[in-house]
Formats: sequence, C-alpha cells, structure tokens
Amino acid sequence: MQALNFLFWNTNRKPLIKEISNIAKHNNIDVILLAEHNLNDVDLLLELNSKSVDYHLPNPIFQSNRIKVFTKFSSNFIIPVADESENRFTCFKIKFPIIEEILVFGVHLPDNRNNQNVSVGSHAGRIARRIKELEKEQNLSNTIVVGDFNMNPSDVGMVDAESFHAIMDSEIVKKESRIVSSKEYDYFYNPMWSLHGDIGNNVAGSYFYKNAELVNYHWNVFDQVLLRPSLIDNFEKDSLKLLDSDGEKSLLKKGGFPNEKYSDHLPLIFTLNLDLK
Amino acid sequence: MTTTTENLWPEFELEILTVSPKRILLEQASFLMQATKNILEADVTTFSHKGGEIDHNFFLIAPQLDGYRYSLLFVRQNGLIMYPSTLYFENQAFLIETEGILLQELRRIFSEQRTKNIISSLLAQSKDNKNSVN
Repeated sequence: MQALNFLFWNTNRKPLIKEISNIAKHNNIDVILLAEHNLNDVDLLLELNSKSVDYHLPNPIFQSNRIKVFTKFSSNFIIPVADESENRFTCFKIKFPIIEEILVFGVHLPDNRNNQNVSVGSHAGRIARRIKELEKEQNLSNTIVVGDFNMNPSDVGMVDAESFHAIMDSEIVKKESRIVSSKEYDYFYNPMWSLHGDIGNNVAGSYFYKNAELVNYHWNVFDQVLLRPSLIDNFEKDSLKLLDSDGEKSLLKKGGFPNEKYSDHLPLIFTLNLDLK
Repeated sequence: MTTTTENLWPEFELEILTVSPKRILLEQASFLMQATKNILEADVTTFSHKGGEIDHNFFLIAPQLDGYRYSLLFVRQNGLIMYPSTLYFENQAFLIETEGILLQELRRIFSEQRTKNIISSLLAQSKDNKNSVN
C-alpha cells in the first residue's frame, strides 16, 4: 500500500503561503489543490521546499487557474487530462509504475450568493456528465472529485442521480450503480455527511454563513471529496478532517468560526491507501 | 533444464564501474532541480540516429512558462560505446575520453556566465508569471 495524503483549501484570495506550507508539513501532504488562490506559484513552491525540496508544479501547469495543484511527484507521474475553466474543473491522473492509477478532479462550482441553488445544481449536472465522459475516455473508474462544491452534501445537486449521485453509505455505493427509469446511474461515495454537525467533530462544517433568512444552515460543508466505489476500500475514513489549525496556529476566531484573516473556508484533508499493482 | 552444450559465455564483470553519460546528465538534472527548489526542472532525452550515434539532450524546463524547454547541451555517443564521446555546447564540440573528463567539462559549462544567465532568466520569468484565479 502507498498512502497518498491530500489537501484541498479554498484560500479566499488570501496569500496564505505560510499556512499552506504549515499544513503540508504537519500532515505530510502529497497532493495540494487550492481554489480561489491569489498567490505567486513560485513563492509558494519556495516556501514548501524551504526545508527539503519535495514539491513540484505540474508540467505543463494548468492554464485555467481555477484550481492550483502542487504535488510531491515529478511531471512524469502527474498527467494533465483536462483543464476546463468553463466547466469549472481541472483533471489529472496520478500514474505511478507500482500503484493503481487514479483520476483526480479539482472542482470549484459557482458561489450560491450570486447563483440560485438550482443553478449551482445545474452546473453540478454538467460537471458530473463530463466526469463520466472523461472516465470513459481514460478507461478509468478510480476517480476522486474534490473541491468547493458550493453545495451541502444533502443538496439536490449532490444527490441527484443526473448529477453527482453522491451518497453517504459506502456499502450501498459499493453496489456501484442503480437503475432508475431504465437508466443506469453510477454512484459516488460522499463521506462528508459525517462532518456536518458538531458530534465527534472539531468544527460543524467547512464554511460558516449566517444571515436573517428564515432558512439558514449556519454551518455548511461546501468543501467535499467524492469517491467512486472502486476507491472506497482505499479511503482511510479516519483521515478525513476539516482542519481548525495549520499545525502552528488556529484558523478559527472567537466563537469557533473560520477566521477570515486566513480564509472563510476551512482546509480539508484525507488519505488514500493505494494498492500496489 | 537439461543442457546439451557447454556454457560458451565468458565471466562478466557485474559490478558496473563506468557511469554512463546519460546517468551523469540525469544526476545533474536532479541537482539543478534541488538547487532551484523545483522552480526549474531538467530532463534528458535520448535520440538514436540511423547512423548509430546516440544523442543525450540535456533540457532546462520552466513549468511556469508553459513548460518552455531549453536545450543546454548534448552528449553524442558513437553507438553503444560510451567513451570516447562528444559534448556539444553553444556550437562547440569537446572530446570526452572518460567519465572524469565529462564531469570536468560539465562543471566548466555549468559555471559559465552564459549558462548562469540562461538559468537566471528562466527563474526570473517563472517568478514573474503570477497565476491567480479570476
């Protein structure tokens, strides 16, 4: 088994070079995906590599800049697949000689302050269809989708079979698909349901928003990872965390909410233990 | 397996004493990446000519500049014989009789002002190429 540690963080256009680097160091992160980044790639690379030279940018780098990727692997092992700004994702393969290939999608869906929830859901359907097409083209179903979905795990755009079809029960998802009205729909496993709420969790979500509307969730889990059935046994459930600290200082302010001095989103980390071929 | 003939092969020296030009170039590529904290990458690609010569091209790569590749130098082997070979840099050819001479010539080339200027230019432009989300 080869453990791969992932970090996703919507950095809210803040120059969080030190904080990203601290998280990477304290959690031995192998793959970093960033959304809403506003930093100089080289400055971050220098900070990540200040003690030992571990991290690389993909080569060629992704052009859309919606999702920024840094990994501990040279360009021989990170293969860009698609970089579709209009579809709001970046896709690459992690391809080692000795472990199973995986397909990684980094996504950032439109924000739901400027878009109705149903519009975000429609975008989700479009992305989910492209994911299916690319899986077919690449002949791969070891897929993870990670990013800022701007939807909660329970939102229709996450659960709808015409969209991500992402369910909270890994045993059901292992059945791979279900048929609705004569059409077969593949599942994703969405472990993030378990991180919505304060029982057993350090925080009740990844993003806090409170206004005077009658319906307001307060805590949201917009930052999520989805896995296809073939990766469920590789996913280390206990590794899934929303971080409240970069390892050296808290990312929360008084009251336990995300400190906007850093980002209004909290970082997400998780581990895949990949099988040797 | 039952054999019907005797072994005609001589004893081979299995401990490899000579380091190939390609191995030396690959190791130097790795050192360059370490020295530039992976802002620049380097790679060695091998090309076989119909006439039997084998070229090992040493490229500097700037991922931040859309993967721009600069061919710094190349070593041409005469077929499978690793030494002597010829090192080409800036339209000049240098005879490489041993691996020691190759190391000596690479050290000289890497320290040349022309090489330093190329690397400085690639580093500066990589740093200027700020990419942020819109």
